[in-house]
Amino acid sequence: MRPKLIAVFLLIVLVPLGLITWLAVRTARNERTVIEHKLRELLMVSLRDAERAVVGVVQERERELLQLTGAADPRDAEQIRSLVRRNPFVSQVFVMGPDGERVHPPLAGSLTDSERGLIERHSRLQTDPQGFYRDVLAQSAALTDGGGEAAAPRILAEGHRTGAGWYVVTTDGVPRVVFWQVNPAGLLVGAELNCPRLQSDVAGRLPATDPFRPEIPHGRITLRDSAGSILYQWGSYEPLEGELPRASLPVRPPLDFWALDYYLSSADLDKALGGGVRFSLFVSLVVGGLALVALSVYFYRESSRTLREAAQRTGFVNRVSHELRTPLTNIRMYAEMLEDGLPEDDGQARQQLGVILSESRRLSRLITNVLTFARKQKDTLKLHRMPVCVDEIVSSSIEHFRPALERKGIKVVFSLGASGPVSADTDAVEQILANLFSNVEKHAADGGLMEVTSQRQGGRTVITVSDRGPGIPKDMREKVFQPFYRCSDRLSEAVTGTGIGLSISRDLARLHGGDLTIMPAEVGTTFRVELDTPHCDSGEKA
Amino acid sequence: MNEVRRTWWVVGVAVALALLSAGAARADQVKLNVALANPLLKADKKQATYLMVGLTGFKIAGQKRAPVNVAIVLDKSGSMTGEKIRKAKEAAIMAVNRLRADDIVSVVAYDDTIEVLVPATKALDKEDIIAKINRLEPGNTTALFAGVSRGAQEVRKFLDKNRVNRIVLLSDGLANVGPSSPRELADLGGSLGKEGIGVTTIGLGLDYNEDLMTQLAIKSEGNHFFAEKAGDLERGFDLEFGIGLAVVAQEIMVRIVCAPGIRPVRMMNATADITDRTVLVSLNQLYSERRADLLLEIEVPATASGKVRGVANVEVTYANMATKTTDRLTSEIAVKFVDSEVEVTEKTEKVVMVVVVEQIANEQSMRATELRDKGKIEDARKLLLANGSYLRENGRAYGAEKLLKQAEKNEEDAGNLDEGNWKHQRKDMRDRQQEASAPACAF
Repeated sequence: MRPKLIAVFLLIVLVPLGLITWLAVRTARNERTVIEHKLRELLMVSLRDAERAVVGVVQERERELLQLTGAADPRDAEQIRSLVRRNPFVSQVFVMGPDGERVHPPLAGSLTDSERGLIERHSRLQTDPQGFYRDVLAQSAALTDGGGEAAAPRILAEGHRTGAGWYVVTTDGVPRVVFWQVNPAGLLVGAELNCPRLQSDVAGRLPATDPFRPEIPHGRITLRDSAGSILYQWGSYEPLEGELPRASLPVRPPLDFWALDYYLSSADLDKALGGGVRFSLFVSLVVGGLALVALSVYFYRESSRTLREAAQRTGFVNRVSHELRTPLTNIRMYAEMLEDGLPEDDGQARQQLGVILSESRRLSRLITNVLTFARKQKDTLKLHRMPVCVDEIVSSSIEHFRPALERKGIKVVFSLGASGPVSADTDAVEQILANLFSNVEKHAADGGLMEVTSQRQGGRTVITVSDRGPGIPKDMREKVFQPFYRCSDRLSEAVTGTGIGLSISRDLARLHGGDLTIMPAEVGTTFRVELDTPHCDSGEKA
Repeated sequence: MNEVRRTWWVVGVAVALALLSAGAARADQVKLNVALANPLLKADKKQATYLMVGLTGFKIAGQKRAPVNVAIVLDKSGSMTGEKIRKAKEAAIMAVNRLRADDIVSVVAYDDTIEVLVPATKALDKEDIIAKINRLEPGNTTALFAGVSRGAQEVRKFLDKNRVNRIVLLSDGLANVGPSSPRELADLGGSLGKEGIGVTTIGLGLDYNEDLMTQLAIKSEGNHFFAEKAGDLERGFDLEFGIGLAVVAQEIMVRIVCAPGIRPVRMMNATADITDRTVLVSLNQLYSERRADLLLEIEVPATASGKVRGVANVEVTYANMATKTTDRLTSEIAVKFVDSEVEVTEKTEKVVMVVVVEQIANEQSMRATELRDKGKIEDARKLLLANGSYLRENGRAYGAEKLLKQAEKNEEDAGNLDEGNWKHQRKDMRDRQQEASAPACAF
């Protein structure tokens, strides 16, 4: 009984707790997704700010170079050289004619070292200037200052004489950034930026890292090139080797070979992402769990107390019954002795003594029933088989009941056919019969007849007890065998009984390898007792 | 603006003429001295000779040095732990202590990220600046490029032609975050130089990348110091920030136009744009009473004896810091051809030849460094010993103590090429090579 109870209580605690956990985890996960999304948006805002700073450098160069390349006379090599010498942002300049012919560095005359360097970097200026010219026009990015949306670079068709853009080409693994402008005379002036200088300006423009007032407290933003090497970084968090950024943003053309990455420490990310949610989840789980445990402990204690009390009551009734049996046995014994010693003609005394005897037998049966029931409850009910003659038991039982039945006007008819010696428990058979007869006495006195039959069928004995009473409605025919069940609880009915008689009778019959059932009958009730009674030879001698 | 300049120029020329006619050179004018190694050349022979353009800063009596605008960039990377960071702090504090109240200073520290300790400000509260420098703790990897970039950004806040604009980089020069090749740093240095920002690099310890540090310094016309060399640092800081010398000229542009037939071969101690017969060199600054000697190798065609041939026209323009004018100087030089070798030797300009020998010896020293880098220790040793003899021979011939000292140095170098000494030795050599290749050397 106990382990079953514990299992039930565990179920009561664990199932709701599991459910709450599942729901809470799901909620937390959803919330995390939402926060993660919001956080990513925040990171992207920082990255976009940084990207604007990077592009700001390009825009500055753009404005200056538009002026510069527009102002210099592209046909004057000295002017171009002077520009290159003075301008800290430009590493070299080339000029191309409307048909893609090279104007500068000049084809005739010697070149400066720096100009030779330019031609080494862009060898097509020497080998295929027309192709280079076409590429510059066709594969360029628009100016960043184009007023928001980057328009496609203006491809110069015949007759068009203006335009500007950014041309990026990678040589020797290094991206070369070229600003170009076509002047009204149709000359294309290209200025190759000093790339380290560009990087330096970008690095100078991006935030520094202040350890006391950090711009991004738990993060790190890096600017990297397409090969993944870091050009600049800020923020006090140090990403681990191979750690993936939480957000990335490529820089817009012409610097699209760079990208910005935002790294965030996982611990801080978790904190940001709902340490709160996790805490409240934890708290609600603990509180819910505790409440459930308390509730189940309460119920467990309640129910075990009820059980204990019931057991105590049964034990009490049991003990009382035992205590009653001894004096009752004495009363019966002395009453029987008195009856034996009474003169035959003392009718009145004999009659009074009969009442004492029958009532004390009734009480004895009651006590036996109670004790049997208690044993059944404790699973200590046992049979004590002996070689007996069933008919003898039946007749003696009838003889015991006859005075009481007759007092109620019930006539007893019997036909017995189970006289052989068999192995059976006399007490059990007596108890079953007594319960059935008592039932007839109590409930079927109106019928005025009790019919008892017995017969042997192989190793079994069948006894029927029929009356002409009101009978038992069909739907109650099984219920009457349940303990404490009574067809009617009305106190006004002058019928007594404990409600356990039929129950223990059936238990005894079943213990005896048979059964107690109600036979279908037109009038009254017929109980059928079937018992396993193996034939017994030694019985004759005993 | 051009109008004003022109007017000033006209006035300047007028004043100069007036002073010249009075028989005295103007006190606040850079002195231009153009000379040939051999004013006489052997006739009927195509030959190489050297043209020297010497500029000498004038003396400004009683005037202190120009105010500086300096960004001190400190390496606080993990590799700086211990002695190096201590030395770096010491040097930075040394520099700060030499500043005057009208100087502008900023302090930037870097490891893998950049920290601006002191944004560009007047050097009034030195205590506070020094306290901030002293608080530095060595940290992470080395974002040298970004550190210099941030320093440049701080200098640019108060970029002023009337100041000496400087970045002082104190590092062990092991760049590993961001661009980190000598080539890229040289490009950055060149660009900063065009803006008038010089980078003075100070190498700490024995592990720094001296090529990167010297390139950055040379291309930006800054100085390079090897902190291990006793006295070097102090002398340098004294010069740049301390009692120092006034900068008398800035944005100096030297244009040498060779006469027809004369071919400019190479500029030996400066970056020059050479096209056809024109050679252009720009220098950022010239200090008071200091010389900048540009040495150009030229090729002279075979010419008949007795003939005089024009060699070159030299024109120098510069911003005069004393008069706030843009001044222009010109000079021309010719060579005479004779038959007698003896006569040629007799007339050799010793002053020019000393510079020539110095430059050639310096080139040999660099070549020896390259050989040693390739592991050819024996070849390098031979080259340095030969270089030593070359210097000694010429030192005796021209009576130049300087060359004799250098001869000794080279012979010393030859003995220090083995593995144990090389690290230190290479830095020492690079330091001297940088010093020798800078035309406007402040020393």
